[in-house]
Amino acid sequence: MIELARREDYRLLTGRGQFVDDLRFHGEVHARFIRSTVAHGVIRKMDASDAILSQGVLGFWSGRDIKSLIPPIGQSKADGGVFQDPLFRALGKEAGFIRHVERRLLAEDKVRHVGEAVGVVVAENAYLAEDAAALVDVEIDELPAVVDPIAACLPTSALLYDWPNNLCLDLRVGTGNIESAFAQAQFSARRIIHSGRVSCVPMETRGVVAVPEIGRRAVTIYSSTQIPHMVKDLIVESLRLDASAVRVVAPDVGGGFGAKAIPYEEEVMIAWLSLKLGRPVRWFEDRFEHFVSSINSRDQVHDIEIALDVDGKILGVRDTFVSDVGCFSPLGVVQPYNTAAHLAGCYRVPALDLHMLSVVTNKPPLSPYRGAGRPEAVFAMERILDIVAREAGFDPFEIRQKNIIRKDEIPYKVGIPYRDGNPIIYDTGDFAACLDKAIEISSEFATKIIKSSSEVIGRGVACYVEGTGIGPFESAEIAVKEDGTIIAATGACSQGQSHETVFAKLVAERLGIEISKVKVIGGDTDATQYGWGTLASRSAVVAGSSLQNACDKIVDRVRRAVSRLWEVDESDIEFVNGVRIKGTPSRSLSWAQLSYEFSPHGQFSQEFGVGLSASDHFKPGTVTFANGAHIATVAVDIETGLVRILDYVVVHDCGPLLDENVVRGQIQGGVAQGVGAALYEELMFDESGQPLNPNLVDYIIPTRAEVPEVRMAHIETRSPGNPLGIKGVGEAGTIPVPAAISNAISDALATKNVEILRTPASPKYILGLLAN
Amino acid sequence: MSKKISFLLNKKVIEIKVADQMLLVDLLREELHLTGTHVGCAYGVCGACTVLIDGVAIRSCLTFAPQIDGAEVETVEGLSGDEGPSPIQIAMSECRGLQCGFCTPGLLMSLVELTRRADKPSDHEIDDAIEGHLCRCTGYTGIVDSFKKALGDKL
Amino acid sequence: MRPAPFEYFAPRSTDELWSVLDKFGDEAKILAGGQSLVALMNLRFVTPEALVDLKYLPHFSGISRQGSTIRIGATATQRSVETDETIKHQLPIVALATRSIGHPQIRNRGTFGGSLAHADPSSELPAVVMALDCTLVLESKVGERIVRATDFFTGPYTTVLQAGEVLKEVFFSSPSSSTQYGFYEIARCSGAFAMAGAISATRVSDGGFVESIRIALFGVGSKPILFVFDKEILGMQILGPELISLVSQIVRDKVEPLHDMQVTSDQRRHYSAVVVSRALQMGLVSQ
Repeated sequence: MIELARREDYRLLTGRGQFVDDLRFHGEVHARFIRSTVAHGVIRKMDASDAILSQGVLGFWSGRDIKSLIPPIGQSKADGGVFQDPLFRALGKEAGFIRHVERRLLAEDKVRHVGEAVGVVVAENAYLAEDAAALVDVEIDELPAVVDPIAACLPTSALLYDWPNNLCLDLRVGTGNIESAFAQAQFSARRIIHSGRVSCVPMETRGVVAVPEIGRRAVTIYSSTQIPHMVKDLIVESLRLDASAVRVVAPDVGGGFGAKAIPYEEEVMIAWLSLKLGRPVRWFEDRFEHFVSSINSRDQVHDIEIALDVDGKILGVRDTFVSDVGCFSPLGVVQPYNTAAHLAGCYRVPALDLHMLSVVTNKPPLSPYRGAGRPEAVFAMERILDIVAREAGFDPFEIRQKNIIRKDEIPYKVGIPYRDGNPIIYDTGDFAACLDKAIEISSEFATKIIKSSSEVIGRGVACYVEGTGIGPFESAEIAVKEDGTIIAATGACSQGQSHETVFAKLVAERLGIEISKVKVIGGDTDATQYGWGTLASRSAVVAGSSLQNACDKIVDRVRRAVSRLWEVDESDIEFVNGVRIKGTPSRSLSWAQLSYEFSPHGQFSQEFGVGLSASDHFKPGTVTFANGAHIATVAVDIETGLVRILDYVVVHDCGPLLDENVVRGQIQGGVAQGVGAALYEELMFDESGQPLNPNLVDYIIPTRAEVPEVRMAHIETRSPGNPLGIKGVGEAGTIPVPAAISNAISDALATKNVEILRTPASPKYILGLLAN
Repeated sequence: MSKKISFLLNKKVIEIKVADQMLLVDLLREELHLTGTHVGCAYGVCGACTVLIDGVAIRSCLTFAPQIDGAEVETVEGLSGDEGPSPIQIAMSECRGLQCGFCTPGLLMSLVELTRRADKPSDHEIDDAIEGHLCRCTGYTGIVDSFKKALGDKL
Repeated sequence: MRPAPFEYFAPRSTDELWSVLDKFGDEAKILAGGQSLVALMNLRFVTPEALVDLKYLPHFSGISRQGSTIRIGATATQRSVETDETIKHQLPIVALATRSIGHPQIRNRGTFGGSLAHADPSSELPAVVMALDCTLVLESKVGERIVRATDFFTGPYTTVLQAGEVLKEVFFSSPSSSTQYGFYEIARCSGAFAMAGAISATRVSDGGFVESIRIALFGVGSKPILFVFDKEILGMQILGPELISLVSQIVRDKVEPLHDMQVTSDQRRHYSAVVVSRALQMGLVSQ
């Protein structure tokens, strides 16, 4: 069989990928959700009598039908137990409060966003299910819709929940003396800056297939998810099943980016239906559903103010920001706190005062999307820095070079905790080197610009840091099989990040074996008992480290056994296609032979235990910081408001590269999503909460024509936080893109006094600014 | 209502009864068990469902099954056989034109159409074809390289 | 996102066609390329009881030169129009505008006539046929009727086509070498619908003075908008910056632009002037 570049490639290229909607089971039926067409209201009547009689229909369930059968979903474990407590412990109770929402699988009385599921019908195939769904008659009495997050805070606003107001998070964090910083300031600037609301739009929408076991209350759930173990925990809890009776598998997943990083109501509902009906049940989200029922993201308004001294050194930053979290935020504090934690970024900011508020509105729920609060932080900070620099007469590149934390200041303490409760300490990185190199690479482009007479050129820079490799842990279970091949199971779960290839390479190198002998399994709760999942730029760091540690445990055990039983020094033992003694290559054992020796029949097992396998659940102490600098050169057509990206430079540091091609792909792909957020993507709603563009025609995803070929360079500084010495890179490409592009547009339009203060910088927005 | 249709699918004759409203993409995926062609939007924008009909790249989500009576349909599954993946599939792997792989089969079919042109397609025509596909993972540069390699090697 | 049930017909003769259309009246929709219709059906925005496929009726297809006119059959694919040698040389503006529709995979199936009959206010082809003063032939069981392109489009997604009537073909008069054409559209990204666009046809005398200008705007109003400038308005001018500025200003002042998610009506008004100006600057001629 021909060797392709990645393990994943053969099946994906030949059309034999196994995405969730590709799986087929005998006797399967299809579910279709009926969703609210009203943003805020009370269900008055639901009549499914025609639907139930429709051809091929097995049943219909409403929220009231399942009310006593399935409890609502409480606060997600990902949000609650682990991150929140350490953070609030670190900040103290007076730092603020957070409110949680119980989520019903199907709305019982109140609906709170267009797209909220109010019922589900099951039929023999997808066509019949949709025909039946169209016959369900739902009448909803409308309530005033809460759409604007600022207006949602007014005492006159309608309320979504039985709360005194629509606030679900109010948290303040800071360091240093902010009053003194502004009192001493020579220059200051203050602006309202908005990162718009977006949808993740993976090419594969969500999907679930639940397959019940016959004769036992047990079920296997295949879900297009990034977090199979969390999904399993939720299903076990909600459906009161034995943990041994539930298996969740993420098959091939067509992109996640955060849209699939929370457990969803549909996963529980489909599992329940399969047990109820005793048949496999399939559900595949359609694209409209993705816009209105998969999580939305970003959507923060910042009132940010910066103070500089006479030389342009930053004295302090004050920022109050409001997140519009839609009808609820499953991960609660995560995204806004990431914003706060990353706001100071690469710069020395001695005084910080950050006040974050999350407000519920009648829109789909909100949760992290690639970047997870960091793009919003970088956008606000890099824009206000550019603005104050321009007003004060400083060059935007020089002011950054002046304020950027230097290599000899590492480790650098920011002064506030990370969301895991640990103090933020930049543990690695040469931020200035990334910036300087980016400036150097970008300036090579200046002579090659071709533009039309109505275009003006601008250049903008944005730097970022990114806490990567967050805990709490990731699991690896490695086993050497009888024939010497390796199975490496990980709690990580790929949606395109090439884990099967990258982790096979890592394990193969660590064990001294050919990569073709290593099989990587991810995303299966039967393959690793514990696991966390793939999100937050963590898998290379945490899963990779756990795999490496597990390999080392195997290697150590073999080394001790061979040393003892062959009476050689451990230092004379090396691992090349098994184990061998240096200088005496005839004294060797292949991995197959080693497996035998550790089997019940073998010589080593008596003293060193049966089975050549190991597990590891690497727990990083805290995050490790990646960083980078992006520089965009743009041409703005001042007659049309359209923006062309002429050149895009990325210099970043994720430490040593596990696989250069994969890293390049992550950066290029991340930049493409950043371009989308910077110029094109925006979820729009009318005053009654109706989504205006829940489709790929009016919600614009960049094509090849809109995405520049990124010119990139890597700088490698090691992380002290994990055995691989690496930092995550999954989100790096996306984080500073809107900031760099908006800085460039503002630079181009500086003579017209235009400041880009929101994303996306659409033609409508740019023309509006030019007209004023 | 249903129709009996007869057509060529990856060079094999298929005779089958289909519901009038069945989309070609569902015929392939549900009835004929060829799940390589994917549904990304069901209204023709994303390109994941692209197949060849009579040698021409068409959205199978915008085609009803009865429409292909008498036609020749080619899907990604037809590109490789016992001898392994085709040169264009190998090119796409080598040039890192895929990550999650969901948009890939549709792109491959657009690429096949280009490779069959008598004249080598221009860069503009290559871009035009790729612009008809949305990819959320790669940022497109690997795809462009793949197309160019596949078309360059052909000469 | 699957369509509701319907009955599919693929008539083999025009008699069969009229018979089916007669039977279903308003509940029948014509299926040519289907690139707009099937999308709407998948979203269940339209739910016809019958779909009538024209694929077996060569009566409606083809591209040919007929004396001094060029004929494009309603079911000619957009792809065939953009690559046809006659069109490329004789009507390059038609090839250019057609190439701007969506993406090649859409144009491989989408038809010239289908785009006209669908009458999306932001599509290019309705504006093309208006700017070039085309003649459309509509056919029904009672025979043919001729409609000028300028009379064909009556509102958003509406034309003079009645139930039981099918667009058969479009005729272009043979362009003279003294006419210069232009095309310009403003769209957010590749394949996106135009926020404003213009097709211009400028007839220039032997002396180099502009005799007339026809400009059709798309994406601006609820249907394509035609402006005709003759010598009275133009005076005796060459096609230079002054004339272009005059014409774009008139268009900008007179047009009634739509307001939508993408741009405000004032911005669209401004766009009208921009697309007119840039189209006029193009100066594309037939060979």
